[in-house]
Amino acid sequence: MSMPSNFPRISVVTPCYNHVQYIRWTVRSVLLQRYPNLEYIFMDGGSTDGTQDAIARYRDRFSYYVSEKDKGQSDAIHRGFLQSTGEIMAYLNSDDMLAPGALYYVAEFFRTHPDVDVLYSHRCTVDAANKSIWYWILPQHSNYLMRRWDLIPQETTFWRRRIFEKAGNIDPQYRFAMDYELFVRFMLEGKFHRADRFLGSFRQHDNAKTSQLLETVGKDEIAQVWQKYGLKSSRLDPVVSMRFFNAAMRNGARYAASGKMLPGGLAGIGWDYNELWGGMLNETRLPVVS
Amino acid sequence: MIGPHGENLAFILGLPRSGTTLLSVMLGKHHEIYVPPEPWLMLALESLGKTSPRHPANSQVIGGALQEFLGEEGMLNVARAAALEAYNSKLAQVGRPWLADKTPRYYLILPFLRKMFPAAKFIWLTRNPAAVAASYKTTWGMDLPGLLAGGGDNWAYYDLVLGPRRLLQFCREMHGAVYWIKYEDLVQNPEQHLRQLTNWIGLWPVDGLSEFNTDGATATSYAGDKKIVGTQRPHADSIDAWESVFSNEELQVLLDAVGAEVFQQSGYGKVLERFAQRGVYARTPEITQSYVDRADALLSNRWQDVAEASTPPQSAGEESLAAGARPERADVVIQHVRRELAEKETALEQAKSNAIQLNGELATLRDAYGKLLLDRNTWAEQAKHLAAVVQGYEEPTFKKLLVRAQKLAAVWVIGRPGLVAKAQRPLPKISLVTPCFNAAHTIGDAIESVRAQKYENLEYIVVDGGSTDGTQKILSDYQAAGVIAKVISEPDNGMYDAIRKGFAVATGEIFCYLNADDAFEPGGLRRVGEYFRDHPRVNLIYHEDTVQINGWLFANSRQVHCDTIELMRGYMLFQDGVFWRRGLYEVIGGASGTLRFAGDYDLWLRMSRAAKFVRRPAHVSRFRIRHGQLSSNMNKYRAEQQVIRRKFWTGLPFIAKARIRALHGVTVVKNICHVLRRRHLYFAMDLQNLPPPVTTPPPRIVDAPRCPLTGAPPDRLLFSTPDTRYGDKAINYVYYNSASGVAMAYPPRSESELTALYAEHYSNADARPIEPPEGSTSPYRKWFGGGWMDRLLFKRFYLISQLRNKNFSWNDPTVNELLSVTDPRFPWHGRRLSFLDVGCFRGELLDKLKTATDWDLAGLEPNERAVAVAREKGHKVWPASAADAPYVIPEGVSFDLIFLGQTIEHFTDPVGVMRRLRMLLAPGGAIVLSTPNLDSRQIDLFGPTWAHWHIPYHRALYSRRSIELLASQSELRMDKFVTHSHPYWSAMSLWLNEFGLAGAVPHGQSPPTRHCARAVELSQYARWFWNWRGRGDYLYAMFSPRGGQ
Repeated sequence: MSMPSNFPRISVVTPCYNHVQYIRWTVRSVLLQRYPNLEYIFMDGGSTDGTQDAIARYRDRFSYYVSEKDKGQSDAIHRGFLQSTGEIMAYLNSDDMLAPGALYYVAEFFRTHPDVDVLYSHRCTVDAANKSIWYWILPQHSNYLMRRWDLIPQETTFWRRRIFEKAGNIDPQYRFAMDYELFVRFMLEGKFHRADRFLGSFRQHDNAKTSQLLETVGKDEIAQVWQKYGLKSSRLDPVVSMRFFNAAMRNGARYAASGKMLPGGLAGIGWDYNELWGGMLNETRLPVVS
Repeated sequence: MIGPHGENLAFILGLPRSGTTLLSVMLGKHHEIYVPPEPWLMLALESLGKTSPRHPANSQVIGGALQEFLGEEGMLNVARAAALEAYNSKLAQVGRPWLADKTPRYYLILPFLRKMFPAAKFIWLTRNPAAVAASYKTTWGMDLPGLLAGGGDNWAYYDLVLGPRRLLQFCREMHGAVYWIKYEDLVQNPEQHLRQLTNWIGLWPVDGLSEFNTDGATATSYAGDKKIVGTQRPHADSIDAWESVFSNEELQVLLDAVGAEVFQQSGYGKVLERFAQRGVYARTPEITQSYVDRADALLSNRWQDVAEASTPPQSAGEESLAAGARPERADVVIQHVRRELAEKETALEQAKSNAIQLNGELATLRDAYGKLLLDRNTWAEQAKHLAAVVQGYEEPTFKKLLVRAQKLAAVWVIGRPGLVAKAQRPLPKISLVTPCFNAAHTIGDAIESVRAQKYENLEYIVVDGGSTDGTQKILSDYQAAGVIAKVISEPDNGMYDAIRKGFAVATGEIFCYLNADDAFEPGGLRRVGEYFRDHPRVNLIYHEDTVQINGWLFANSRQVHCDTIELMRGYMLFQDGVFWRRGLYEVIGGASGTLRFAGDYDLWLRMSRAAKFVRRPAHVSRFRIRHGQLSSNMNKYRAEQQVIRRKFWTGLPFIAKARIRALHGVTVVKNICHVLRRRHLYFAMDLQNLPPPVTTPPPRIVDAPRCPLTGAPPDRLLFSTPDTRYGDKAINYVYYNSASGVAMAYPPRSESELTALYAEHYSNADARPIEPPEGSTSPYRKWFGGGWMDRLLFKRFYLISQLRNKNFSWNDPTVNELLSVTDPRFPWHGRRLSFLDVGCFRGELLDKLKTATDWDLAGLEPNERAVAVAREKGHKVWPASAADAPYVIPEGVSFDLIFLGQTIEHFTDPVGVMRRLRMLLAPGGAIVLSTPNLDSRQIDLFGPTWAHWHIPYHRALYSRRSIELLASQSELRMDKFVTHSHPYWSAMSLWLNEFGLAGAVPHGQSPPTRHCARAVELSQYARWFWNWRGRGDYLYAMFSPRGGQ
């Protein structure tokens, strides 16, 4: 049996506010990773819908748990990162999930690729009932594209502490594009890599912040980021970003149609994410701690 | 003819607008009297010699000269003669004896009339003066009260002021010789009054005068009331109309002018009451008198001018003077008129130019209006478009993109559009008919099997021949439950008559019939429906069926390609597996109702002429054989078949007969080859060894067995078997899904049931082989499924005897095999691997590995007793099933190698288990499994007596294809696949083959030496020919996570 000390510590921060329907899946998808050196930081913003009851049984598995009123999602993540000690860092929103074996993969990848600072993967999207609905199949990482659009699937992104310390913590001012702002800073400092697989799943549902905020504050904030870091200089940029975005979607559709499977996902659309987990997401037990 | 004193002449007097036209028209209908429309003759004659002052011949001279020439009396005579001439000439024209002259204004010349024709009849039609005045106003638009008040010189003034008075006066003077008739009375009762009138005149009484038509002279006449035109009979509508016409002031003027005494004397006292009700009262007679005086004065003034003009001048000088002055005046007048004309012409010119200008403006405005209309339409379109655009933009662009992507993905995912369309097309409706008669024992099973099909578009019709054994009760119960759509219950002329009746009411697209003895295999109808849906040009398909004997189930013999030739040779299709389209059935005219036994044969024979038969390699139905059933009817069947065949043959055209004769031999050879061809996983029914009746009831079809990998129902039955390891007698069916290559046991046993069986038997070292009793039959005893080559080898071909017993070990080969599978990847002597044995039982494998390797070993075993034993031996074992492994094995513990030795075939959900075990893999780790190989060559040889079947403990058996499927479903990649054989298992198979399925051979026993020798032989063959082809007895497969970890 492999020794736990072989694996670097991975810190995962989950900011949460009133997501009782999905929080169990999110938490279980992290804790069922069986990763031996996991630091799971749970930042609850004082949920009032029973979220705390839903995760009560997992409370002792969190390395750090706090439930108090915060100044929003990015503030919670910011404070969560301040608590973290892991060599590898990530945050997972309270409606997203990790794929089985994702943490092992990330640890192994960073071990074998010492030059890479940030790792992300394609995006697999599920709906409120955990059924897969669409994919982004992204090309090889390109800073050129990243400067022009918020294309990094945040739920699949892991990074080393060294880039975090260089580029700084997440900016609590942002409500929507805090990940993009953070990743742009990472991009300016370090090296990205896109894994040809799925590391997690993004949930699209009616109350999802992404769909609500993109049109309102989202675009403004992305524009702010561009302005702040002097990106997006060409007039063709909107065209490029839109074409890229369409291509990612189209490739996702092609991938779904091909009937092939990438690691971390099943073939096609409409499959249950819980099935990928062998039905374990809907159960209540957790692996025993050695 | 009218006499000189006015005999046969009547005058109708009255005011204008008082209804005289009506009276004259009605009277004129009498055949004896002629009533011309208003001649006005007497007025003209009365003014004889009185001409207009403007007469060019000098009116004074005319008047004076005439007066002088005729004298007073002469004038009268001339006038009378003229009148008589005029009247009589008219009467001669129309051929009537009487004439009535109706002219309203005769009131002006009443004394003259009386003088002219003293014997004439006078008829006075009176009418309420107020109504007359109202009629003036409404008909001619005259403001009569205004005229009266103004006192103008107007004939209407005379009419109203003087007319009634003079007529009244005339009546008084005539002493009642005037027939006085009231208009109001006339219109209310015309018939009666007309009769009285004609009677008074002296005419023959005639009925129907009040029915008149007015298309005659009245309509075209110069004078007279035109209102009457278009009416057919008198009406009283206008009697009281005056009240709404006049205001009180006007009525007052009217009353003043006419005079209250006139109203009263002419019989209209009641009208005065109405006046009083409206506050209009009669004033002093002086006022009336002033009106009369004025009228008289005006009238005399009128005549004054004429009289002056007609009076001869006093002297010639005056006359010449007058004559000379006139042209001078005319010049002035002409000049005046000319000036006026010029003025008018300039005004006209101006008006014309104005009109032209206005017309121009109008045209411009019209153009502008049209343009605005066009603009409005354009703008409306624009607004609509903009609204749509705005609506479109309300949806966030991002969301729209997502929706678009989802749709795209949905189209792409299910992949090829053709496949999507195929899958989405609805299944055709199947009409299933079951004929039955006194089948209470069997019909329940048949209906239950139909119910278990769960085919959504099924019409189930049961035709009962009037059963008396409770069948009808069963049928009505199922009908109430909605399983049976229609039940026809009446005596019939045999089974095929019943079928014909059933199909006559069927509405489905696909037809088939199921006897009450038979049943459907699970999922059979769905397969049929899908085939017909996907093959619209196929009209008839037939299947092999399964045969149920005493609770055992066998696959029936293979069917050949069936056509007319084959049928003519007497070939029998398995009726329960034949499905055809409604069109085919209708084309051949349906089943024959007169046949008793071979009706199906007749049906196939005729259908084969109309359509091509398609053979489907699947089991859809189950044929039940009972003792005695087969042989008793067979002879009758054959006899009837002969009759049908002969009849059919005589009806065939020459060409068809020739073709059948020519191809007969070819068909025979073809079918012999077909029967001789061997097939994998086909175990022919062993008719020599029909099984003993089972003591436990056969499993009922509740739901289809499901492939553990894909969830699809199986399509073929392989065989049925009891437990041949420990001797449990319950029958299990073994089905095969050819799509995924998985064989599965049915009915499925629950986990607890199997665990209990294991606990009972697995550790029981005293289990003995059970031989079938002497003399009894045992299915598949000494069954041999090999071909001629195998047979040769089995006859101990001399070469083989030289090579036996070489290099074969009877030891458990698992460790060696495992190490050989993993060797290239894991140099086991080089590295300390972590190893997990799933289902390690008592840790036998762990023991051996401990000695052979330096791996870090662990085990997983659900059997508590076995866990205890293994732990005693010092192994690390978790007491849990494979599915619970991720929970019971502590977090952070992962394995380089996970081994599932002969366990996967026991799982109900192998995919889920593999997905869970996958989470236990360390980076670079692998899963190795071993399981019996369904592709094994020894299955061909031993068939159902192959030792690895091991039903019901093995829930499913996998082939290479299904293992690959399992890997891809579990997100794994198959790195390596090898098969092995071991003489021990071959010996077990040989041993069981000797017993047949009625016996049992427990594992862990030493087989007899005769079997051992042949088993080694077999293993030698396996090593040479089979293992490397993937046809060894069991398989090893190694998986690693896709994409690495």
